[in-house]
Amino acid sequence: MTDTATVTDVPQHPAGTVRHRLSVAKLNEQQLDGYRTAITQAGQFTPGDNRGYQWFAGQHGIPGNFCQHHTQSEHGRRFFLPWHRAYLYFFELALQDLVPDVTQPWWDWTYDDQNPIWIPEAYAVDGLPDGTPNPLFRQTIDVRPRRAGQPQATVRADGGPDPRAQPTQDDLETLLNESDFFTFSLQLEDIHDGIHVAVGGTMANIAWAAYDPLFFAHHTMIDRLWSMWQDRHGAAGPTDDMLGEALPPWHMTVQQTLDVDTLGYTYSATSVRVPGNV
Amino acid sequence: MAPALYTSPPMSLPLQTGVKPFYRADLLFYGVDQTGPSYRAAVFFDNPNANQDTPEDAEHGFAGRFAVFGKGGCYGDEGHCIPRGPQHRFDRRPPHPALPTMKVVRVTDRVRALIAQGQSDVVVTVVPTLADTAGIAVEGDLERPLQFEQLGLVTYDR
Repeated sequence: MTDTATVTDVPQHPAGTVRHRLSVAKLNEQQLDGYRTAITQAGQFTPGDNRGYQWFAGQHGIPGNFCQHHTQSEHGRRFFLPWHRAYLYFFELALQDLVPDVTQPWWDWTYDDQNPIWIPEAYAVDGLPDGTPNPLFRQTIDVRPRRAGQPQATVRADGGPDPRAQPTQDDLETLLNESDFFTFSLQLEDIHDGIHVAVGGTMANIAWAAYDPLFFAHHTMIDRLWSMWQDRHGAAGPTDDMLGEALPPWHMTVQQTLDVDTLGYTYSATSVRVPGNV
Repeated sequence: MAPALYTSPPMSLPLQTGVKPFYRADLLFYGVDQTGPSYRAAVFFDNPNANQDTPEDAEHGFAGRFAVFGKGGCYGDEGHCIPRGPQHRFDRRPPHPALPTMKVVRVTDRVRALIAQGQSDVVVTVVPTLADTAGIAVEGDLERPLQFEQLGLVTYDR
């Protein structure tokens, strides 16, 4: 006897095992649909509801102002990676409350002159084949009270691949070999800044950047690189005096961000699952 | 109008003769304002005529680049974006987000090349190019987005 499972029978993620964050460019149709559904449903909450897209987007810049990584002081700068890891963790959990098996995909903006890429198609198309808007292309910015000139929706510049902003694979290799955590963090932050500026529009403005769904794919790539760096350099990382620090508004300390396995995720490029026979 | 450039006075290059050679050289931009528009900055050595159209290659003295992810203005009430420091030693609030930042550009190979040419100093020109705002309003000094307190050239020995 043969047990035959069809490809539509994707089982629930096995309990107690880590989920895989996948490359945006390599999501299959079902995975992309699931992620879009989660973003769409998250967007239906009112801005003050802390389960919704507007609430999460508003924690980075306006109105929450919690992102601290751009300050010059040693204290602020050192939290760039832990703070955003916590941010992604809670955002992803909120999406999983809506669509249980979604994970936050990463946008690989590494520059390859043989195959120059820029914003992934999943985020670049305005509308979907069924005629509905693509929730990854544009999101409302619902901050009240509105100020004159305040954008009401996310927008990006019409740019293409930009080798001035995108690191090459060799650049990333050099970066990942950097042994000092703070040097690594600072250099990665500068790459991060360059991508924000190159995307332009609301992504190039701290106040509004996180309203663009591309923000989360961008930061997941940043988090992925940190995870890869951790794999190479073991326990090296934030200093002991940082470990007990909280990362407001996230209910998490720096220490609790250090091991992605304990946060329930890991990084791969693709992942598919089918039912077994029990 | 293109944003204003910055050109430094001559900065001394490190001695290399008779001493252990450095393995790394960084340009440090201290106190970089980040309250205004986002921009990309190209750094040129010994090319005070560099501008937004100058090719970013060694022939034209290109040394590196950085980007400033700016706040694009203040969105709070009056006083919201005036940086405050700790009130006292028990003040554990994080630093004010409007405080200036610092940028580091690694220039090891370019500094080595200048020294190999026998130069003893270098003039640094920084050329900012504003981010494409795609039509959204951005506050801040669009004519002088590049504002910083000091520029340093630092080398490191093993």
